[in-house]
Amino acid sequence: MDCERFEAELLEVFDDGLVGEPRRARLEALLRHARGCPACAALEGLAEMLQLPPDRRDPIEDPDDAYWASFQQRLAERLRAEEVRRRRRTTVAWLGSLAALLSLAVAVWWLGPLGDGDTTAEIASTELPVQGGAEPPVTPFVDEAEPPIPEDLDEDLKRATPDTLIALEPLAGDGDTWSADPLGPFGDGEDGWLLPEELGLDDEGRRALLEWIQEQEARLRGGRA
Amino acid sequence: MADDPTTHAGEAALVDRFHRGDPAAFERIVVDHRGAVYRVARRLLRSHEDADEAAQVTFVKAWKALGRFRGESSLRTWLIRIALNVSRSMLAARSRAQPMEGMDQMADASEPADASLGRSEERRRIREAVAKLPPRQREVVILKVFSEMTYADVAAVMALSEGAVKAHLHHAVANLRRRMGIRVVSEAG
Repeated sequence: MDCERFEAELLEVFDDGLVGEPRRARLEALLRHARGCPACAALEGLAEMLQLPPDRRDPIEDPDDAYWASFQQRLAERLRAEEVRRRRRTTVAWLGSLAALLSLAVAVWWLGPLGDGDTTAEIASTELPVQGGAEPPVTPFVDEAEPPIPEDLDEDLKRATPDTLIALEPLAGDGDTWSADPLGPFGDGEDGWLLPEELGLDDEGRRALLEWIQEQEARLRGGRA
Repeated sequence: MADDPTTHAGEAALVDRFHRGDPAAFERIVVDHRGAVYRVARRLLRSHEDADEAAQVTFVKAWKALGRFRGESSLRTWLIRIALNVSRSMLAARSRAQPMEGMDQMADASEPADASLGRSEERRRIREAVAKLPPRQREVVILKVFSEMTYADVAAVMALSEGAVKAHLHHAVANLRRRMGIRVVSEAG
């Protein structure tokens, strides 16, 4: 076995179908080579590690029952807090919609039924009266948890939180084509991300990334109730 | 994955119960998968406290997104994918706060209670070398070697093709050879 074959065989050990005696025999052959080859000696430890069951290769002490009881309780508290936040956003959005409807009703009452000569422009330009107790028109609800995308590309990416970043992976063999992780910003409870700088993007790549983020956020905002 | 306690039909039923507003359904999902989620986060973050936070955040995100889960992958794969991304974010935040320091501390967070000190030390060196691999290679080694997921599962978790997973593993082995080889040479004087 030469060194090139050693590395190829080592990778084959990871093959999903290699189990039992064929796997054991292959590992033994790998170890014989590694123990006698200065160039491959560095991987002897890895080959030895592969003889162990997976849970013993990098053993993690499993937490005890008391930890898990605490875990469940803390998680339940976080989910309750999330539910409260969700209901609050829904209530504010509902109130915003109600206020908009009231404003429309007031406008219709003030202007009367549309007749000949009324134009959309005239209606739009009419100043709405604010009577006692009536609320002024409310602008559409904006989720304050999601700040608007700033214009400065570099500053935006530097300040981007894990919840607003996306993971991109070049398609195999094509470094210029990106397969975007399909999930969007945190506000929808979807995946977190890798930093763009970890991907070594140039200015054009980062600009494309930001445009993609903006498109996805616009799509997601448009899909919300 | 070998230790998945639920069948596909059982998972579908649990998700359906969740959609119909049964809070016990999500609690059951957490109980079934919290160990696997914790272990992946622990191996990536090398800290119990960070793994705990990552696992909590993972399940909060899952709770918010479960309504859109389509069952194209198993629940376990989907949850580990979220955990992977949460862990990546935490690692990135850690590296911004403590450039390069966190990486050196990462490898020694878990010490096995092996009888053989020599093998224990060797495995520590391997974990240390793995901790210093580029992110994708490190993740593939953790998922494929230390968790022994199938290539298909690793590909699903990392949103890669199986070919890309194998390529990352190939590069990881070459990198480990270089890192471990340098250490072997330096120890020989």
